[in-house]
Amino acid sequence: MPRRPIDRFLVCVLLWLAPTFVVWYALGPLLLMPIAGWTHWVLTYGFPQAIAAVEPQGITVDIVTQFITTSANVALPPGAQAQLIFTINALQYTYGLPLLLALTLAAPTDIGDKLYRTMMGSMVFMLIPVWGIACDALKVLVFQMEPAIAEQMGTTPLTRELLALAYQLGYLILPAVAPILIWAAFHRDFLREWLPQTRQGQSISS
Amino acid sequence: MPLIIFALVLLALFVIELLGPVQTWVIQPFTAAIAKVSAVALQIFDSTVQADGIVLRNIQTGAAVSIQPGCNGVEAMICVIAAIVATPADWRRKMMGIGLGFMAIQTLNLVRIISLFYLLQWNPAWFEWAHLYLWQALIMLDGLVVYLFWVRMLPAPVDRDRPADAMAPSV
Repeated sequence: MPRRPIDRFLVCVLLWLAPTFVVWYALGPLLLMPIAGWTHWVLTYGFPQAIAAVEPQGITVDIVTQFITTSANVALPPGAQAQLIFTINALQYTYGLPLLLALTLAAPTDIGDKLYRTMMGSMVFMLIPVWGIACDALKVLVFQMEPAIAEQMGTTPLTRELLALAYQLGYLILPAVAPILIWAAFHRDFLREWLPQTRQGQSISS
Repeated sequence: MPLIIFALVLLALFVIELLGPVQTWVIQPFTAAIAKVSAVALQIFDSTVQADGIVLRNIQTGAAVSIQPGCNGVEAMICVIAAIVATPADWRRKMMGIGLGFMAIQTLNLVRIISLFYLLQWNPAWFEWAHLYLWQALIMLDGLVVYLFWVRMLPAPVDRDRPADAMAPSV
């Protein structure tokens, strides 16, 4: 084991990554239930004219819309109508969770502290997939469905640009950077101790 | 304050990255260069690999991977740059950290692309798993490691509140 605490910590993170990834993947469907529930609340409250429900299906979520599909690919009995539903891989927005768990478990704290910081960190992290899935669902409706749907939703060029930015942020940046920021926020004491260079209100001698 | 600087730099760089001209003139050529470098590295031991723009292809089996946004390491670099800029240090050291971050992230990204290229040919399900989840976390961890090592290389801070004689070495 390395002698420096920070080197020891990084080795422990690597060792913890494998079990945390296994546990995270095994518990994926369970983990996605509250995330789907919160996303359902956000989307049906924010866009009641577009989204009817968000339903967890294993590691994916079904987005049930208020729109009727006119796709020729859907075989329907005469007179019947089909509600437009699409699926999103929700787990791809949560891959930061095993990293957060590995970082938290590798920190030199006692077991009670680890449990507390794991619980609190995971609760905060859950907001990230909610953002990602919500933006992904809106992106599919506005950019990948018939233009009439975007019109019905009352989008403007500006809101479409903002949606594109929010989606990219929620897909490319937040799931990756959030675990590290959350971990750093819950471990400021260790960071100050390990890295005195990051302390505020002190000048750097060079 | 550093957190605000971090968030602002992160957002600004990310918005700049998404701009059409930046995508056309910087990101796409950079991504194509990554594909080219990956192909050159692969051809050392596998002559069936070819790079075609952002696509890496096995000319015998037809199996191909396309290097898309999120797979070129640019977003991880943006996070590292934002963290380094937000940390109190002189600009020479910051530029050194950014250079170090670029090298570390792109080196690991090369390993990611090569491993994913072969993983796809071996088992598409494992490819999906490694591509969507595992490598994303590892690249970000790489960014964190680089940042921590860079911070550790910075000189120790001087405590302004401490009296001068308290800082003198004891004999």
